[in-house]
Amino acid sequence: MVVKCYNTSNDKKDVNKALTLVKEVNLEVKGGNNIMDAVLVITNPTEVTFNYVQIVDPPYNGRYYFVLPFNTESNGIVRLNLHEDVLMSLKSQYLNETAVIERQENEGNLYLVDGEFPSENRNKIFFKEFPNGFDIGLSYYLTIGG
Amino acid sequence: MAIGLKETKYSLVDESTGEVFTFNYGKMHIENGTIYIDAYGDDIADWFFHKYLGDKSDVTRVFHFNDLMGLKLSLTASQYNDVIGHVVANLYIEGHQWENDGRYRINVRADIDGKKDSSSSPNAGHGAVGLMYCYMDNEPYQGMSIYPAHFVHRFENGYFYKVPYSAIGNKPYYQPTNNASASQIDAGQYIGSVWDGYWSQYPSQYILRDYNTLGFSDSGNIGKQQPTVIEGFPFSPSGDGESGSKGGQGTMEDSSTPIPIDEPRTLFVGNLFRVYNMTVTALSELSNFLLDPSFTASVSKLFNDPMDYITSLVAIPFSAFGGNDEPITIGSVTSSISAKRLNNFIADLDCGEINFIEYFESFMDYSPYTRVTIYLPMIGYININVDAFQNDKLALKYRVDVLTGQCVAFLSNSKGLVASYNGNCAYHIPLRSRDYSQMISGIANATASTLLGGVSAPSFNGALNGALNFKPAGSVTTAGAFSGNSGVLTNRKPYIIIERPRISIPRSYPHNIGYKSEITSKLSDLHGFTTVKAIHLDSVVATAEEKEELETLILSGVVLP
Repeated sequence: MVVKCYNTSNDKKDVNKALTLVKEVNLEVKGGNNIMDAVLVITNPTEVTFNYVQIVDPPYNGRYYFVLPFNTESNGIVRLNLHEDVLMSLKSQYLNETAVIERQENEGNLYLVDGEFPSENRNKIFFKEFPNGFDIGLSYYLTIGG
Repeated sequence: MAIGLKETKYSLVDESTGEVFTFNYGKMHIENGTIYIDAYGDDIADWFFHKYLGDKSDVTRVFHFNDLMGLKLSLTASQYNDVIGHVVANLYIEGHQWENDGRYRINVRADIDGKKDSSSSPNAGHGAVGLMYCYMDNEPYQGMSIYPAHFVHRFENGYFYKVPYSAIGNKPYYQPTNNASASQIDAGQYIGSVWDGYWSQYPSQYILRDYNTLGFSDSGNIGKQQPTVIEGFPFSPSGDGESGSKGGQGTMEDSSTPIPIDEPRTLFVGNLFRVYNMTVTALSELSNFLLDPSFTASVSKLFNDPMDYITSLVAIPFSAFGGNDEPITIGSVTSSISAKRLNNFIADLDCGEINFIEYFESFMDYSPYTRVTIYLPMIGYININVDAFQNDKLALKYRVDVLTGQCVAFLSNSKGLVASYNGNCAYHIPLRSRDYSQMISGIANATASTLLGGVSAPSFNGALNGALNFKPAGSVTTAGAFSGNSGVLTNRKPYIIIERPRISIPRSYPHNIGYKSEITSKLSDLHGFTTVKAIHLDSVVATAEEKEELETLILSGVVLP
């Protein structure tokens, strides 16, 4: 199958990953129980110079995969375990979905109570005086009956 | 349109333009300003007036149902059992509006005359076009079919219901006026829009929820209706209308009545007693006057002790009582000592106001995170609810009664009176030994009951809205209320003490954790770190395992491009 081999330094959480193409090769791909897991069979361990792949041909149809830790067999064959990066593979579809957003980097509402806000164990104390008050001096009031 | 129309047997003529309008396949006449429509026949037309072009098969829909606003229509019974039943009704179209649940309501008031029958049967004709809310005697009327429809239909609780015509697989369709064969609504014809849920994301078919209600678009062009997602709309009634109200239809009426501070009352006492504002000099002179033998000889013998004429002597740090200078009169004797005699015993002291401006511009500006204690002279320290004054003013006014020394402090914001507290601002000066004894006794009793009272720490719910790592704003002040003569011993000017949390937010907080959002948004409209509370991946074509992992990742937080 045609496999594009990339390097990426992006975090797993990033939807868009910057990919640097290392090579495009024909490799043997062994499928697992589902389309999300696959195994690349590589005969020469020195060829493993990438950490991210895209498998072009069906049934993978251009899906993207992380390269997981691999095993080198006694005969020198390397079996690269792959796990699908669904964020990249399905990006064009789910980004059109509407969702209820819980937390956001730019679209926050600071009036919502947020228990994640860290605070120190010392409060700030402020004093503010009213402009006017009672007189400093005393006034005397005599009440006389009759 | 209704003005200047002249009836003909099957049409209306606009006298101003000469245009002729007809109601398809129905008898119509106008009488006394009322348009009467007799709908009958195998091929039932809808509620449109069509411009008559001379050929019945060549008609163009001209007027939408909206154009009938203000008209009085009368729907008479037909000899055909399958036409809206045996109902004679005068219909008054009174308005139309969008409902909060996304449905479009046309208000029709109906005067029912005659036997009521909501029966109908499927027949060739057009599909339902309206959601009718009908009144009879100002009460929603049930069981009246307003509109001839293609399907069996009923009218209950103010809603018009239709049953899908099974022959075409539960999809809405219409019957063109001159086309006997059924067509799918996909053809984009005018029959009406479907709501009660939303259009399916799949463009090739419509997924109808509770498919038994149709409605209008308000553009005048009935057709596919894309419902509007109302941001922040808090309520959406659940269930169908048949089971009664499910709530969410509150008025949301936000008006508030401002509560002013009442003007002080005027106490009229005539000459039953007099209150004088005495200077220190006048007090000295008066004491000499009272002990002078000429006074005791002259004054009428009501009392053995001249001091019995003196009701009270108090010292108050407040002098705004009005009055005029006059000689002091005791009993029947007028002295030569002048003092201001008060003509009003109650006066106000305006202490001014403090403006509260949000310090954080966030939830932390409000209770329980920010706490405010107010020192009220003559009263004590009081915890107040900062929410009532945030982004507003805190105005303080005292009302003082010179006779009793009682004072009331009024706290108000721009909307009105919020709270009032009472205290005593008079220092009672004992004139005789028994006065002194009573005063000391009273002070001791009052102190015992108010020790460390007057201020109570508010209960702090640490579990409010989830985990909070804020230090509860503790009570800075521990002083209690002032009682007896102690009020005048304290500070004379009021002030507030504000306690605020000291936050420590790392710079990368927005990108690594994000701010609370609670909005509805398309993911492609957002950028940066995002965690999702709820999402339905209906449109994603993928395996179940892929969708499950995708949803897990999105809910835990992803960085959107």
